[in-house]
Amino acid sequence: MTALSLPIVFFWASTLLAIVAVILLFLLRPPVLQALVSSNVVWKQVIRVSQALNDRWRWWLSLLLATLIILLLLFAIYRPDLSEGEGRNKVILVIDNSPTMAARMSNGMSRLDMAKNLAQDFLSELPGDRTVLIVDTQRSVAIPEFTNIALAKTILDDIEIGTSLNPVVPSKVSREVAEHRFVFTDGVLLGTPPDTYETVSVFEPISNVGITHVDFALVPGNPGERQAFVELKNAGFEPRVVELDLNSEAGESLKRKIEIKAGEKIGQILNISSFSSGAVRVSVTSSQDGFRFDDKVFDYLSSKKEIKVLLISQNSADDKVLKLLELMPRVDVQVIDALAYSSAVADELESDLLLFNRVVPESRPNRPTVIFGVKPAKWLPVQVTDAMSTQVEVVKNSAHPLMQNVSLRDLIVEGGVVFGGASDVIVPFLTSKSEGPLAVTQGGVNPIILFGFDTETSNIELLADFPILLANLLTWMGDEPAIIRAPPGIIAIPGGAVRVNGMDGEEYPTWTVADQTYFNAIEAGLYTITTEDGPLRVAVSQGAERFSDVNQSRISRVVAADLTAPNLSRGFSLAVILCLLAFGLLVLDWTLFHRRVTQ
Amino acid sequence: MSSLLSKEFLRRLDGLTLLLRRPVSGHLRGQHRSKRTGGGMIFSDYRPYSPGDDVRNLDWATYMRLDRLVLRLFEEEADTPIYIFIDSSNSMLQADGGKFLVAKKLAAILSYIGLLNHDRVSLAAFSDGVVRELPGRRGKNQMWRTLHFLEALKPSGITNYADTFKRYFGGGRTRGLVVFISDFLQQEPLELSFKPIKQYGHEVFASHVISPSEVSPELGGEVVLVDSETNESMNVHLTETLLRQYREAFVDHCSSIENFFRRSGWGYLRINTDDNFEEAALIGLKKERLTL
Repeated sequence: MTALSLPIVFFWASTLLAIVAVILLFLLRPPVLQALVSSNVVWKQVIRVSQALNDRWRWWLSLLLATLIILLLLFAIYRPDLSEGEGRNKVILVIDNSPTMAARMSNGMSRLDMAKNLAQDFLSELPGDRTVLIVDTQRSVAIPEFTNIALAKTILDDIEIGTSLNPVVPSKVSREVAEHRFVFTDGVLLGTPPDTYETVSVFEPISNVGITHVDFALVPGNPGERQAFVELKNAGFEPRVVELDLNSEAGESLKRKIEIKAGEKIGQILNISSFSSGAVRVSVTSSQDGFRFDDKVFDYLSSKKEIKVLLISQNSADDKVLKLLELMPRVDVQVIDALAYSSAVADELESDLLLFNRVVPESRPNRPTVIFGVKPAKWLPVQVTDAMSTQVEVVKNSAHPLMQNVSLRDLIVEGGVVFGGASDVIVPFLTSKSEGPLAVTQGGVNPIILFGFDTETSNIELLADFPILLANLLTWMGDEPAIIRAPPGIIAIPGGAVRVNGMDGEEYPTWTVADQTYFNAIEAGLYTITTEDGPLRVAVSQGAERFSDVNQSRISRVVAADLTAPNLSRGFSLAVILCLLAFGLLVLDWTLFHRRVTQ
Repeated sequence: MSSLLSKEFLRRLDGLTLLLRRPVSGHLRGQHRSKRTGGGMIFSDYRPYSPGDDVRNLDWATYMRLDRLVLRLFEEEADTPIYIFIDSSNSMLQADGGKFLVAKKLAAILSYIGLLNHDRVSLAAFSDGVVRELPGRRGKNQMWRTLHFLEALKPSGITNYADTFKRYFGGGRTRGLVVFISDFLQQEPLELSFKPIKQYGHEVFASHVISPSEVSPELGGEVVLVDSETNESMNVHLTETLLRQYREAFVDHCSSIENFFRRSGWGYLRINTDDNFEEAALIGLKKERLTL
C-alpha cells in the first residue's frame, strides 16, 4: 500500500464502518414501550392536528431528498466533473529527476524510484477519462503532451536520473492549466516548486560523503613535483571516517584515511609526483553512503615531459632569452646561429620547439616555432607592415593562454612590424593606436607564434613578467592542452572535433550548431576529443558541493515514512461521497422517521 | 348486601324519586305524571258531563252557578319504563376496571330508585350490540335480581351505539327514560348513534365515566399505543407538547359530548373514577334534576 492509495482505502473503510454502525444502532435500538389505552380515538385526533405541519415539512423534505438522491444517482452514473474550464480532466505530474534524486533511502529505493512508484499508484487510481502530462525537470521528455494514462505510465517508467544541477519545471508546463498538478521532488536542487503545484516530497535524509573538487598542479618552487588537491564534503549528520583513493591509468595508487565531521568540508593535498600522466580516478569510500554519484571523479594528469628548445639567434652570447630558458627546469635548450640552422637538415634537428630571435627562416619549420622580430617572408601566414611607432601601449587579449598572468604594461618597442591580412590567427596583444597586432599565434599541428619586435628593439627582456610570458609560451606550444572540466551533460568542444571517445574507446556522436560542436557526456568519466590541433581531454565529473549536499531540501517534510499523498480527489469521488451520504440519509430517514416518529 | 351498593348507601337512596321532564306514557299506576286523565290529584281540565262518568268528579259549584253539569278532570299518575344501558366494551376495563365498576354502581343506583318508584326497569349490557339484557321489572323485590345481573357482567367487544339502539328499540318499546352509561370512546358521531332514540321520543340521561389515565396519561417517549377494543397499535413519540395537546383534546372531547346531550335537552353527568362515587353520584343526579 502506498501513500497515495491510503486515503481511498481509508475512505472506503470509513464508509463501511459507518454503514455497519447504522445497522448496529438500528438493531440495538431500545425496545419500545407498549401501552394499552382505552381507545386511540382521541390520540388520533391529537396526532392528526400535530402532524399537519410536520407532514407538510416532511413532504417537502422528502421531495428534496428524493431529488437529491436522483441527482446523485445521475452523478454516479455519468460521473460528471465539477471542475470547469481548460484544465478539466487534465493531470500534470512533474517528476524531479535531478541528480540528487538518485540518493538511496533507508528502504533501498532511490528518491526517483519512490517518486515514480507514488506517481504510478496515483495514475492507477485515476479514472480512465483523464489525460496526463508527464514531465521531468531535466527535459528528458522532449515534447511534453497530455496522453492517456497507459502511455503516461510508460513515459514515467522511462524517466531516469539527469545530470543538470539546475533542474526546472518547464515554464510552458508551469503555465498549463490542469485539474491536478503535482511535483514529486526531494526539494534539494529543484527547490520550491511553483505555487500552483502541490508537492509530493520523497525527501529522506541520508548519509553522504562526496568529492566536491579535484585539481592537479605543480608544486610551487619545485616544478618537478606535482600534487593533487581533493576537496571532500560530509553532507550527512554524523561524522565519518572515509578512505580517499587515487588511482592512475598506469596503476599507481595512493590511499588516505580521513575523518570528517558532520557537515564539514575539508581539502586534502596529496603528492602525486610518482604518477604517470594519463587518466586519474579519485574515489572516496565511506560506510552507509547513500549517494554514490559524487564518490568518484575522473581527471587527467597531463604529461610532465622535458621540452627541447632550439634557440636560433644571431648573437647568442648575450642573449637573455637563452639565460632564461636555461633557468627553466623542464627546458633543455641548445643554441645555433642562423647559418647553422640553414645548413641543417630540418628533420634531423632534435628539438620540440624552435625559437628564432631576430632570425626568420626561409621556409616554415616543421615543428612549433616562435619568432621574435619578424621580417617579411613569403611563408608567413600574415602580412607584415613597417608601421611601428617608437612608443606603444599594449592592449592585451587576456583570454589568450600566452597572456595568463602577464601584463606587458611597461613594454617599450623602438622598432618593428605589425601584422595583418590573415583570419586564422589569434592576436594575443596589439598596439593601442590600432596600428595592428604586435603578435599573432596560429594553432595547428605545428603552431607558430610571431612577435613583431625582438629583444633588441624592445625592453621586453627587462620586464618582470617576461619569464612568465616565456613559460606560457613553452606550455602552450610544448605541453598538452589544458583539460576541460565539466559536469555531465552537453559539452561544447573548442574548435572542430574529429571525434569524441570515452574511456572505453566508445565513440560519442557530435553535432554542430552555429559553428560550435557539442557532444553529450551522459555520465562521469574522461573523454578524449580528437581535434585538428591534437587531442583534448574532457574530465566529466559530478564533483560539486551543491551536488553533494543531498540533504539541503527546501521542503519542510523530511521523513519519507511521513509521506502523505495530497488530496487526490477524483472527478467522481464527490458524487460517490454524496451518494453514500444520500444513502445514509435514506437509512436514517427510514429508521428514525418511518419507524419511530409519530405517524 | 352487595359488592356494588352498601346498606347504608341504599338507605340514603330510599327517599329519592326520579324526576322526568315530560309526562310519561306508562300503562300502570305509578308516581309520574302522565298525559292521561283520571284519578289523580292534580287538576287538569273541565269537560261536559256524559252519562256514565264518575259523579264524584262533578263540579257542583259550577252546576249551581250555570245550571250545567261539568266534570273536573285530574292528571293520572303512571309508571315509566326505564332503560338502563351499560357500556360493557373492553374500553371500560381501563383504570383497573374502575370505569366498569362505576358504571355498574350507577346503574344499580338508578335501578334501585326506579324500582322503588314502581317503574319498570330494564337493564342492557352492550358493546357492539346488546350483550346481556334484563327485561323490565317492577317492584323493590326485583332489586336482588338486578344486582345479580350487574355483578355478573364482564366487559368484552367493541363499542357500537347505533347498532345497539337500532336492535333494541327497533322492536317497539314504550317511550321512557333511557339511561346511558358509557365512556363515549367511539369514532361514530353521537348524532348518528342517538338518532333512533330521538325518533322514538325517549328521554335520555347520559353518564360519562372517565378515568384519570384518560384525562392525563402518564406516558412519555417512544410508545406503542394499543387500542383496548380494536387492538390497533399506533407508534408515537410522546413529547410534553404532544401530551399537553392530548389533555386539551380530551377536555374538548368531553365537552363536545356534554354539549351534544345538552343541546338535545337531555341530562349529562360526568363521573371520574377517582372521585368519591357515592357523593359524586348523589350530588350529580340531584344537580341534573334526575332525582329529588
